[in-house]
Amino acid sequence: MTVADRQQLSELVDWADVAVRAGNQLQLSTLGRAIRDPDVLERALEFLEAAEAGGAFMSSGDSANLRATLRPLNWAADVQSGPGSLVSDAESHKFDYEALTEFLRGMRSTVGQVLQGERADANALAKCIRFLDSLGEILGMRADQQMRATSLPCSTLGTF
Amino acid sequence: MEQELLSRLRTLVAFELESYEGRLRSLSSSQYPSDVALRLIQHIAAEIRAQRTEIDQLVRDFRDDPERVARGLSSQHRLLINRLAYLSSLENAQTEAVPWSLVPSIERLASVLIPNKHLLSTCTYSLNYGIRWYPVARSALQSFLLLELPAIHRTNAFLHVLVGHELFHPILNDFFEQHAPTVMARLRGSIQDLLARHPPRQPLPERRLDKLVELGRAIWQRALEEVMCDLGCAAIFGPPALFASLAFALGSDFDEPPSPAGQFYPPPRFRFRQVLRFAFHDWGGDQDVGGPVEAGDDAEKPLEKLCRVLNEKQFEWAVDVLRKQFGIIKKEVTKDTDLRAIHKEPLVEIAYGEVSQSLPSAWDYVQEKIDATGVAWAVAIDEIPQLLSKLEMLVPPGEISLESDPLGGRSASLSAIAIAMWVHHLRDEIPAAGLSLDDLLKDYHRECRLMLKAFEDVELRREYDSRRMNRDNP
Repeated sequence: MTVADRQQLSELVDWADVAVRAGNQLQLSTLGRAIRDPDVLERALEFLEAAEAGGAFMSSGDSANLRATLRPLNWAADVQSGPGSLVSDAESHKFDYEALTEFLRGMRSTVGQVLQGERADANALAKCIRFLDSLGEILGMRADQQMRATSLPCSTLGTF
Repeated sequence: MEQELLSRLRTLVAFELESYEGRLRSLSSSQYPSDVALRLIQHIAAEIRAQRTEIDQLVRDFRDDPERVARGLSSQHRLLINRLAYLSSLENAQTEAVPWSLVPSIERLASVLIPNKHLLSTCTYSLNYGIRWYPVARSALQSFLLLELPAIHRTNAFLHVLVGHELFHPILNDFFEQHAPTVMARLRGSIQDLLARHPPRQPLPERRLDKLVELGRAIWQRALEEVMCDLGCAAIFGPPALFASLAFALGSDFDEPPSPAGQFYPPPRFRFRQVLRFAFHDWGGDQDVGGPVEAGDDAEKPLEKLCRVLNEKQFEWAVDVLRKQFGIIKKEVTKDTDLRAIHKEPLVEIAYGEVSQSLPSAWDYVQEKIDATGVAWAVAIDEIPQLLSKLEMLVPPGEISLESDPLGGRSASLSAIAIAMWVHHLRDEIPAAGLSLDDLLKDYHRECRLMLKAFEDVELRREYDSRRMNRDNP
């Protein structure tokens, strides 16, 4: 594994964890319990902002808020087009960046409400939780695949 | 998940945490060439304690939701497994595992280039040099950088000049944050055109535009980042940066095209060409040092000054060595086999078009960084003749003697040491035809020892000067 691979792996592991923990915090709020980890919701907002800026760029070419990478958008689009998709199959194959951007914007607003201690719409909150849970699952699975060492005879790994 | 399985998962993670802590305790009693390792151990131990708290809270929060607890535990397990690399780095950062005489010099250079970060030098049994940092926002581990040297070259001091390349990686973020959006905007247009002209056969999502633009950006950044680090190394160490990267790349294909399997690393020949062009004015050794990339600058160029100073001090042979070596490199970069490989793949070709456009501003950025830190090789050129004189007597070239103070002296600059050592070494290589491989290797080992000793002397001298200053000015 190269240095760049390992750096990307750490990033995957980190964002997978952020998604899992942020989903947990939102779930707590649906149970009427206090948020105990606002930091992780702040990080989820960072992610959503970056993905939203990427979506706006892809749909309209507007690069004003674009970050240095499109990875958050790539991952958000993977969630939307994957199993248990948040949009219909037909839509997911169109890769409607505008719809995705709109969806991300709505999520950002919902997470922001929870963070501010405001009452969020129950349906919107449920969608957010499903999205974050799926994101955590997809990124976590990719990280696991990269971390796993494969058993192979030495001859297939090269000679020493 | 069944409660029974959940309980087993919890035991598994608890076992891992305990085992990790035990290994950390054991590593904290090992010897390291500086205190960075111990500080890192303390920070990791704090993160492990935080993980325990997180797990306890998770179990309390979701007593009635085993799926959510399982998901949280899996994530904590993953975080821990990902941090195993730190244990391996710490094991290989122990004094006997690293070129310990070089470590203080590397740490000092790092502290100038990357303030507020701690550098842990470690050796790995891997092909190349590398630097890593924990990319997680708001983690105390973010302030630690792990510098990896190839263990098989632990005592190969000549190659360790490449540390200058690695130290540049963490300081390029600003550049990419500033330039990536503009580049991505152009990439988006070019890739859309490409898709319109050559619709790829692969099914979705490989055709998804956001993934292709991100891939193009990654190819652009990988190429530019490596070249910028090469340029940074050249700005710090001067010609040895080019000599060391050429020597290091000799075992690989100079024209290896950027590919997913190779993490889109740019071909070595492409990198040499950019360094020769920007840092050394395309000098081919057979003529006067060439003109600047931007016309209108009449100031003496560092390479010109180096040749002049060496000639003035009767080290004409050293100028001949430089001429010959730059001639060799120029000949290599005149070939265009790397460019032909790049042009074979349309997406790579598009990304490299952006690399060419970005290079002038990338060089400006590197120069700004170097100017702000005062570690440019150009400021140490006057030291080189004296260091060469020491080397003629096999004295480690780590100190500059002062005529005004026979007992005094001062540390030599790292770049001056590297230049003197490389030039001296390459001179010895010339009449080596009659020597056996054993003799050549023996000479090489001796020169490596001289270089490592010089780097060690630099820091010892600095320490002495600092104590003397404190004593004289209490």
